[in-house]
Amino acid sequence: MSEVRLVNVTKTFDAVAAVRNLSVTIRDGEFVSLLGPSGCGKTTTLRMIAGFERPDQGEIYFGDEVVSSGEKNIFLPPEKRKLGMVFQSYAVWPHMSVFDNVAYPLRVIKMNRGEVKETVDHALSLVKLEGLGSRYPHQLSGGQQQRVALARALVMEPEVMLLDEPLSNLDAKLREEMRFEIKDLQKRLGITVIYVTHDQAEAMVMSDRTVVMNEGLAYQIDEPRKIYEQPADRFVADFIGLINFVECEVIDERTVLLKDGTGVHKVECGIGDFNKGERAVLAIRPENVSLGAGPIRGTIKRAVYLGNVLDYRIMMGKIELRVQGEAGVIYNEGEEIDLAIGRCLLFPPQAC
Amino acid sequence: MSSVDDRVPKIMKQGRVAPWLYVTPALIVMSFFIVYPMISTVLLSFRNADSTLPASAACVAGQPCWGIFENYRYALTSSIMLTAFRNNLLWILLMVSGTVAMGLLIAVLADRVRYEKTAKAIIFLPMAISFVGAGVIWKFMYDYGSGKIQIGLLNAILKTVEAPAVSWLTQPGINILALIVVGIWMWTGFCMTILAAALKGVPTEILEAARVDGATEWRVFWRIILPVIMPTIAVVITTMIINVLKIFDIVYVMTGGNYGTEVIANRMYLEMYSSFQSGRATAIAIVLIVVIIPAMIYNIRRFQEQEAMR
Repeated sequence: MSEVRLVNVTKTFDAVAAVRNLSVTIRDGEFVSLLGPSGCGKTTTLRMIAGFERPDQGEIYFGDEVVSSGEKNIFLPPEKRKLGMVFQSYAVWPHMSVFDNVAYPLRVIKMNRGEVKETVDHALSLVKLEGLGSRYPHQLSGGQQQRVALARALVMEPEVMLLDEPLSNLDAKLREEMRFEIKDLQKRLGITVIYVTHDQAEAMVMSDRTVVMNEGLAYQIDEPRKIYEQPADRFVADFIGLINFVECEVIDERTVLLKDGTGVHKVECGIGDFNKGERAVLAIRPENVSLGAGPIRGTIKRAVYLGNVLDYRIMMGKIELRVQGEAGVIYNEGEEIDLAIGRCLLFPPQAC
Repeated sequence: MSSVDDRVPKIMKQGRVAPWLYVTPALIVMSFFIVYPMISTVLLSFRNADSTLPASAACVAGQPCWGIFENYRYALTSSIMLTAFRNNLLWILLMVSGTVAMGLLIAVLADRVRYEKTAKAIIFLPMAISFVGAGVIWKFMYDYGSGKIQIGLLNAILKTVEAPAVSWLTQPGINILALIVVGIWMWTGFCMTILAAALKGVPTEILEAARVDGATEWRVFWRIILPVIMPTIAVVITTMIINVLKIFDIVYVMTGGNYGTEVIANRMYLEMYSSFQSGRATAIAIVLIVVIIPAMIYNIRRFQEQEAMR
């Protein structure tokens, strides 16, 4: 059973709660990413699963076994947890060759030499590093070192693998390549993976489910698509992708009123739990505003050509909207344009 | 190319002479206090006891004579010097391994406890005492009274368990070990400090990666930590070898070099200021320098390597 379960886990450092009441079940063979801004607690959570930190409250289960418990004082040290882990800085041992690095966990369990060679060669071929066994880490590029770390984590055929922002030190193109490779490997080998990242694109591309975290709390645990299209919360909506927030008032079951400082506009939007007359915040993604025809008139304040899309800042009265238009039709700065607001969401007005 | 030169303001250009003017004061001090004494020492080693005649004047008929190197013959082959060499070798083997091993052990252990700073301060404290002070303290520790009353700490302990008192400093065999213990007591703090700093420089993630892969603490220490700090250990060892070769105070204060405990530096001192044999003393000094040179070269090379790695 390679299911990992966190139940109400809390961890505090010097009166600052790094992780608060986190509960999540990572199923067998699932790829779950922990996504959030710096300091949100994702790395602390990963380290608690690995056993480098102990939760102050709550329990962590591997399958049915409790590996860490805050209250009951149970703790299984990292060397007994049978995990594979890849660190952000790769953590390959500089004084050992690539072969020795990958062979290390096998030698710890005293595997015989013939088997070691076979297993290491297999692991190196999985990450496409065949033939580089006798090189030393300082003779390899960053990407290659990362693959060594990956091979070392895979060589014991772990059921659960933990990755802590493994691609942050790589250049953009390599990062993209490695994303697909890692995801590919995971699917092929059926490993449960817990992946920490602050890069949304990574989380979207690779995960089966994503845990969006901020300040120690999990805001939403869902498939990437649901997180993007149905964010549970203003923070999630803001953190994932681009979004516009406009204050509005609910008029009836399907309509809200926008006051833009010069006039009012009615916008069709599902109002969910809101009541008539309530104030709310309308959230619109840039690609959900259609240009060229529509009930609202705006002026183009800025247009940036990005190749595949155009990034516009459009003034709707005194409100500035960020809109993405397709590359086929180009509107220029200063032009007046009609627009229509498509899919949108409502959130409560900000507490402050 | 000269156009670059023209653009540099005149005040920043240095002539050929200027650098020499800056260095001259240091050069004067160095030649007076280092270069001149060195040359003088070498010259004296080729002359006899009161430097009136060349060293060959000390030759005795019927015995081997090295001519002008007569003093070196004494320094290298006389039985007194051979004892001193043997003792120095013992000192090097035991004190260097003792201080480095103890220093490493304490550095590793102190790293893991809450009272780390206190522990390290206590271990380092003996280094703050002068060698002479240490010699006096330990002389009391090792004191042997021929009567019933033992004022030395060790012998007092032995007395309470009904064991016979030991004359630590005069018994051959034990006395050298007793002196080396004092040396280790003094210098462990030095090794510990440097090795503790090296330990803290090992990236934690490397250790965590080893633990996640199933390694026990013992394995982590021998296979990961030790190889990574090996360059520092090498520097510490060579520095300690140089220190040990110069040992003088401990031996002089505690036994005066008697009872077979003499080391090279002691002999040098006694030849110069007791026997007034300046030729022999300077020859011994030169021998000591020659022995230290390889260790120094190794040390400097290692240090430069480390600097280059930054």
